Amino acid sequence: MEVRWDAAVSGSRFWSEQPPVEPPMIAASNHGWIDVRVWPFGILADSRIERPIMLELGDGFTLRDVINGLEARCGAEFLDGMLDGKGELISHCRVFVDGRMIERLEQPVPSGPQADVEIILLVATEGG
Amino acid sequence: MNTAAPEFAVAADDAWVPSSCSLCYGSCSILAHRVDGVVVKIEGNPESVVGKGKLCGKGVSGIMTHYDPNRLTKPLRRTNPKKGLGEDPGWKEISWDEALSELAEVLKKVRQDDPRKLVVQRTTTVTAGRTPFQTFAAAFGTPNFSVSGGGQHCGNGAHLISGIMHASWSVVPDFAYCNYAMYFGASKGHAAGHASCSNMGLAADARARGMKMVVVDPMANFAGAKATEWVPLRVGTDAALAMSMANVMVNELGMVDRPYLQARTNSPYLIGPDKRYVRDPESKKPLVWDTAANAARPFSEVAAADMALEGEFFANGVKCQPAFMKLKEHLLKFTPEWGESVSTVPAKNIRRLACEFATEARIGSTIMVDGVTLPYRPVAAVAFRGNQGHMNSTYNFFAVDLLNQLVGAADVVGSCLGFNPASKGFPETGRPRYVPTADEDGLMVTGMWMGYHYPYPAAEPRMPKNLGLQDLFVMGMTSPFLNSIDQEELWQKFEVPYRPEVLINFGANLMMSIGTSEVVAKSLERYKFIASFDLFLTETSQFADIVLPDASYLQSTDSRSNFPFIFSLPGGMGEWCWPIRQEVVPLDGEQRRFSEVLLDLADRVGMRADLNAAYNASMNLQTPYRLEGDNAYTFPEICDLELKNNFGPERGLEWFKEHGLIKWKKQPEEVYWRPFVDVRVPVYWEFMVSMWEKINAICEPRGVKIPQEYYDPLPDFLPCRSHLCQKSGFDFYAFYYRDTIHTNSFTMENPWLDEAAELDPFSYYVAIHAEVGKKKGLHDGQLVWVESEAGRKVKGRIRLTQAVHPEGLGIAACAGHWGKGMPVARGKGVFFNELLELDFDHVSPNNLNLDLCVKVRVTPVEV
Ligand code: SF4
Repeated sequence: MEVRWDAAVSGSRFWSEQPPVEPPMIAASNHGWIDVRVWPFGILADSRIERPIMLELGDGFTLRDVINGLEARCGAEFLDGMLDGKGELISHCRVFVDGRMIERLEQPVPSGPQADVEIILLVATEGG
Repeated sequence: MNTAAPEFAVAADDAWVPSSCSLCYGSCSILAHRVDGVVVKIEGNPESVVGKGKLCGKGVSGIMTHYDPNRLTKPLRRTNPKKGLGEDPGWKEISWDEALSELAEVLKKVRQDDPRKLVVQRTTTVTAGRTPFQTFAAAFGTPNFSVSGGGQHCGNGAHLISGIMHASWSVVPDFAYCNYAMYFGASKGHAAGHASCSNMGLAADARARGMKMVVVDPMANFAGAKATEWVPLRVGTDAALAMSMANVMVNELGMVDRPYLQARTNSPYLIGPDKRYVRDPESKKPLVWDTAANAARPFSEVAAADMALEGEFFANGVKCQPAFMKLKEHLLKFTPEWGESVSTVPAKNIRRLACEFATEARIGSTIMVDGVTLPYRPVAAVAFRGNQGHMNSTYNFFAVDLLNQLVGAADVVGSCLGFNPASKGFPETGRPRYVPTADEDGLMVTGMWMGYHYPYPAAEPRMPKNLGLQDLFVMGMTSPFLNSIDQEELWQKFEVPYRPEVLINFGANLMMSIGTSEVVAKSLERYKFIASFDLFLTETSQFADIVLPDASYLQSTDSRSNFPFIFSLPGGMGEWCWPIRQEVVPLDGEQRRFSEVLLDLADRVGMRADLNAAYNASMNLQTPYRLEGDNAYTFPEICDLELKNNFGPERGLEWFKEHGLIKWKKQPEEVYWRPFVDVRVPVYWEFMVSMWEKINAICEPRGVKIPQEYYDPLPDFLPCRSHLCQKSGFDFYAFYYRDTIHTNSFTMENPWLDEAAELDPFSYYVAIHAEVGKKKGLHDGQLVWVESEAGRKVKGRIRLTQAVHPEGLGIAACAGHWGKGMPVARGKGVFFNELLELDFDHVSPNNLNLDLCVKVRVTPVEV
């Protein structure tokens, strides 16, 4: 019997199920403002910029807010290695907020009254 | 030499220690038998999926590398400031403190000045070096990371395209179910490489079960010798053969898997006259022709079964055709007769192979695996090093994979599989979990990768800031421009604002592994400082300022000896397996483990916090297992945190040292993930159109010509330099192949492997076709010169054989050492790479792959 390739499997929720242990979510702050400490590492850790860079962002801030804050504080050049031509995070730029990896710029970042944002560019290319 | 370790040499010491091999990047699981502090035997670990209890000849011989009396035991400093081929460095023994103090001072200065002036390079042989050196480079702040010849010769095409089409580093037949495998310049399951020993067992079982194996290769060696059918072809013409087969399948037989093409590829996407997708004006999504609505609609809003694959339509004010139609028409020019003229494979054979492949695919069939009904396509076309080591690297590989895509034989039962592209993780923790996702165009983005820039979507080409120019040539993974003759000219043209000054080398012998030694030597001479971690004094360490004596794999710890799973864990059903590498014997003399030396260096340079952050990111460590601040963790502590992070607090390094590995069952939805994940792969590479425009916009004003045909969305046959050579008397296409007996240039020093290679009829010889050789008056064993068009020459002894294409000339491995630091290896075999030019003209302007075939003439050595 000929079966359409895309009809052999249907309705499986295999990949939509969540992992058994999710890293703990930290409740959002009620204070309205969050003290964000940004830690640039590696090539982003320009000796002219003191680490951490302190930003004050609104509750439920996104990574985009962090980027905008960094641009205002350190200049557009600082973002050069982090963003691609379309203004999106390049794939080898890794951002962790309070130890959790954040992949999308528009993703609201869960945090407490204070947040630590770590940014590093990993090695882009590797063969072999 | 490495001697019995006193602290282990107690009467009760008789242990089998589970660990991982490191004689090649296969990283098979081993059991090392230690008696009274001495390793007396190495066997495969039957508990492990990696190797499945078996080792190759190199694996069992590892003991001889470990105990080699020529191993380095003390740090060395050169006293002769002059560097060059044949220069004696005048080595002087120094202490580790002296060595690291000097190196740290150099690194501090360069980091302060411009961290990009540091180049970090590692060998591909030792996978344990990957994470420590990548994290060191990231923490230091340099984008200049290289994997020397092992990377450059091997994977620019194979890995990139396996990533784009199968979300994995490489591809392999689903041995347990495949009935018809076609190999194009590949040896998976028959020689060295990814999941080598596991695949050898799986391939042998598959052949015994009746899997037909067709091997397309200029030489019938490891895979060809075991094939049902060997198809010899002219070197570097794989794309011509594959495209002709595709033409037969599509235009003569009409045997394609339409539902697959509709649902899981970009075949239905409408292509306009500018070769680009026709997009919905509002959502910007690619349009397809909805046959139910008789209108163009965004692909995400149309049922796959209603998407037109053929025809001509009008949408957004332009005439357009589905990508599949474009492909179908494009294929027409690749007639089997044309294919024969290029590849020398007879047209009737091309038709037969195409028919066999399409018929054996059993389009439309399903099969049940572990209670899950899945598409069943028991054919696979796989390619690797031989196929893609050419100017036409990208298309040679792409064309072969099209055969799979046309019949839906991609990541389903029996088909061409990526190595483990989707994992739900260890059941108790759900880690490591990864699965491909779709971008806005619906195309597949891999869930896991070896570097941190994924193969798709490609980065935006820009003025390069890295020395390999991959910022500009974004399809390139590894680059020859760190060593090419024209590197300075290119850096000037592309206004690279700095030059390399310091090289940290980990075990790579690039003097032998990249191209002609004269050119590589020049590139090394220009470094102000080189530090090299080595087991032996190699031809490359002769250029170093400081040589650091490394530990062997039997003296080392590594928490991820077989991770990522896309690299060297066998594909197909079975088990997930996470083994470690651990110390079997202690260090000898003043040898130190590179992983710990790098931590020491980071402290001396004052970048521990950066290194900790890089490890957190690289290993994706989660609280509470993250490295904090600038705390000075030891390497075993980092390994312990990674293992607990992935497998729970009770399974740290000590647990793994006792058990060696952890494994759990693979599920059909992981192995055959394609039907379950809504992603498409591109049979039409639309992204190449704008990529070329952007690259060309940078190159053209700088006088660098980038031929547009290398960036067409559909594959083509593009000749190598060797195919264009008209010089009289130059009538062989020379190529090299990876010998199963050896790994790169490294194992030539191993006396057991050397002995095996001496007994092998081909390992140290130059193979040419018997009839052709006889016509030239050459005889078996005769000493000859093999000379390139450019006048580069190597010497070797002739082996006359039926098992090579009449126009081919095959040389094994990366042999021909001349350095005194590896006396067993010295003078053995033929140094093929000496024939390779190392400049922009011999590099694919698409993916920067070096052209690895050379037109040569053969003349007797006068005695
Ligand atoms: S295939 Fe590689 S890793 Fe496996 S035993 Fe052989 S040399 Fe060791």
